[in-house]
Amino acid sequence: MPENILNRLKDAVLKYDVESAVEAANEVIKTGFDPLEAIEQGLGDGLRIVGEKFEAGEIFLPELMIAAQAMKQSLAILKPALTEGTSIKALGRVVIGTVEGDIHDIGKTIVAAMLTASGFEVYDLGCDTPTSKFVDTVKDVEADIIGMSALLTTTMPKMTEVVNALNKAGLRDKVKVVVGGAPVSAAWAKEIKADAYAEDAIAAVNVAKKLLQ
Amino acid sequence: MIGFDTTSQLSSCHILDKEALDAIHHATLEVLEKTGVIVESDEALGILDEAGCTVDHRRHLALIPPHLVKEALTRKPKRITLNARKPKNDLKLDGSQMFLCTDGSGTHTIDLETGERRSSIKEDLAMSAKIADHIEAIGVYWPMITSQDMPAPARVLHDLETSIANTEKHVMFETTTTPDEARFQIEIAALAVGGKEELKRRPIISSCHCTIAPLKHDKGPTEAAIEFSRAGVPVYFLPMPQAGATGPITLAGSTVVGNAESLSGLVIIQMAAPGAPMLYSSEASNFDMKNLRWCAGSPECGLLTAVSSELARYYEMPSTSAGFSTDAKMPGAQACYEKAVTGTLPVFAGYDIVGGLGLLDACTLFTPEQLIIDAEIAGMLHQLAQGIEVNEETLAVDLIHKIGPGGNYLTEKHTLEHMRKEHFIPELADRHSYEAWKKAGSKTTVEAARKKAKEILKEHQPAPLEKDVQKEMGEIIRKAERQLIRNT
Ligand code: B12
Repeated sequence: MPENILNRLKDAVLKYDVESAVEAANEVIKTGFDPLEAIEQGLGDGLRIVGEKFEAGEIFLPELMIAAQAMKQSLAILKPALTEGTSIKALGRVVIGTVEGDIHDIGKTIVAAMLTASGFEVYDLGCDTPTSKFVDTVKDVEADIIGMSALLTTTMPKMTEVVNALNKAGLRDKVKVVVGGAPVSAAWAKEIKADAYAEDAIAAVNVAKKLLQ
Repeated sequence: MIGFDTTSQLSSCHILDKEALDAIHHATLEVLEKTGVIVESDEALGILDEAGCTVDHRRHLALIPPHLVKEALTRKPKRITLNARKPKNDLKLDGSQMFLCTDGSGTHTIDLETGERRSSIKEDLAMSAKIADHIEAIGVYWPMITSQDMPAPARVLHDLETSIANTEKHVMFETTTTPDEARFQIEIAALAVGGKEELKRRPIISSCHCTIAPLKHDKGPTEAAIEFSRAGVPVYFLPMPQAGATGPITLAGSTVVGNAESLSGLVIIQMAAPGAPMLYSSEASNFDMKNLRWCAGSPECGLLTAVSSELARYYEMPSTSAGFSTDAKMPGAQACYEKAVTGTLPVFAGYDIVGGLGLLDACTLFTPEQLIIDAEIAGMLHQLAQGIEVNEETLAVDLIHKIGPGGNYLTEKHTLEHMRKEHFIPELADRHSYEAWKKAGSKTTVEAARKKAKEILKEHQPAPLEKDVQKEMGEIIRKAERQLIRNT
């Protein structure tokens, strides 16, 4: 029976079936099965395979995103049942958003989805994000990484503003800064003293993993 | 000649028949009436409210009834003229000619001297304008790259001033995101023509404003568009649904989303400034599900572009389109074949303006070499679209009798009269013998284009603006810098 439920969670993720995942998660709670095992071995295993397939070019973005959704919705059911003191081993906490004045959010959303699918706990602030909101969220959730996206050459300076504000709030050495977006480059990342640049979502995951090693 | 004659155009290739266009139109009206559009600007929302839309001010949502779309369509002019600093370069958009436009607002360039890829600066922009000014086939100049060495809030003004100073052609742009910027840009353009009234009569600039797919009008750009319309500056809305991501995966569905954005923009402008000059456009494309990229060089992009020109004709509006787009990272094979493919449909579809010349890497990278190559690709495509003219003069039966079997036509008056028009004459393509090509240095097309770019830059100097106009433009920019920087 326990084997069975783990397989059902994993299969639901692998079949991009949000409903079945939620159904299986509810059953975990009902039957008193260990929620931690359900998360790490059932859902986690499934998502890991999906991530690998995506990276290998075997599956498409909507499949990855729906799998991540299945994970997220099941987590919402399972997390409250975790015994006190246990926490899920997220790879790290990432706060991500498009900087103020910029509404380009497609690239940023994809990066957020890839990070979620790869096991990061992601706080997506959306687009046109005020500097103060970046800083406040980093502080509130004790983020390990802050990711900023800019697609306009005129909004790139907002990244500097956020870095300065992090400095001022005494948070800069607690959080790694990663930047991206079409006009952004590794040279720009260096110029504004960010920790890293990534050119696409797959690179973003690798960079995030490396930064937290 | 800067325009390409399209009256004898073979083509008018039809992707959609009347029935399909009707279906798209009706689907669009239904979306506008039932789902509506988000309009972030309170000013624009107020205009729609007053015009009779059902407006939810809290959600910024406007439901637009079909009769208002119809009303807006009857208010807009069917034909417009895009003027230029040099009147000889004025462009009459009446469906009889196609004009080419450079691609614009890129962020990077490959340095002509060092070959290094880097962020663009004001000097690069001036250089691109000079080359475009020289290339006869180009009718409209869109500031090709951004002056990133200038303070961010006033960059659009530096870009406009540099463009007007370095080309005598019409300048179209896309980066205005606030009504304040628009007001300063109107001032700058007015200086070049001798006042705001004159600018209304002879708009030497026009502006493009992006909508946010699906079905959203951004605040700043929309208010800027209203500002331009009131000053008589032609505007258009540019929807960019990406099939599969911000539009339905099906091309027809994404066409409906884009058309709903265009038509709602038309309603806003025609209610704010009745009779304001407008164009119709779309840059819908598909979203690459594997590489997570917006596709600029795909066949779907070509199809969607062609359909947009058919919609423009359906609505009797002057049309402009992207085209000649590519995902390649440098001038060369991928750039040229993708540009040839994505340029073909817009040229055959009979647009008034076809853009996209000179940028690479999904409209972000400028190289002088590719600009020169693109003008040649466009010329060849236009020649194809012309087809073959058949009449007494071109059949030339009398001449064939006269020469008879065995002679030649080289020294005939008929040859002399037609040889420049009947055949396309490449400036770049190498048609020498192998030996001659080798002797001349075995140059690749890109190398030949680079040589040409350097020659143009050495020899070509567009007529400068008058000294006091230059000075006043500088003052406006400084004033704007103070004000716009304070606002940020
Ligand atoms: C689609 C698009 C739009 C859409 C955006 C829809 C949306 N919801 O996001 C719309 C039509 C709304 C739009 C609006 C505008 N746009 Co626009 N747009 C584009 C376009 C064509 C593609 C962007 C895109 O979605 N790419 C696909 C995604 C997947 O790629 P990506 O964003 O680069 O993201 C990837 C990587 O960069 C990286 N990444 C991204 N973010 C991050 C963050 C982190 C932390 C990391 C690690 C990695 C990372 O990973 C992503 C996934 O692989 C670009 C051209 C281009 N090629 O970039 C122009 C472009 C960015 N836009 C441009 C302009 C000018 C505008 C407008 C100002 C126009 C106007 N006047 O209305 C407005 C912006 C208004 C505003 N206030 O922001 C210009 C910018 C010019 C400049 N010099 O700055 C561009 C370059 C086009 C051009 N050449 O003119 N635009």
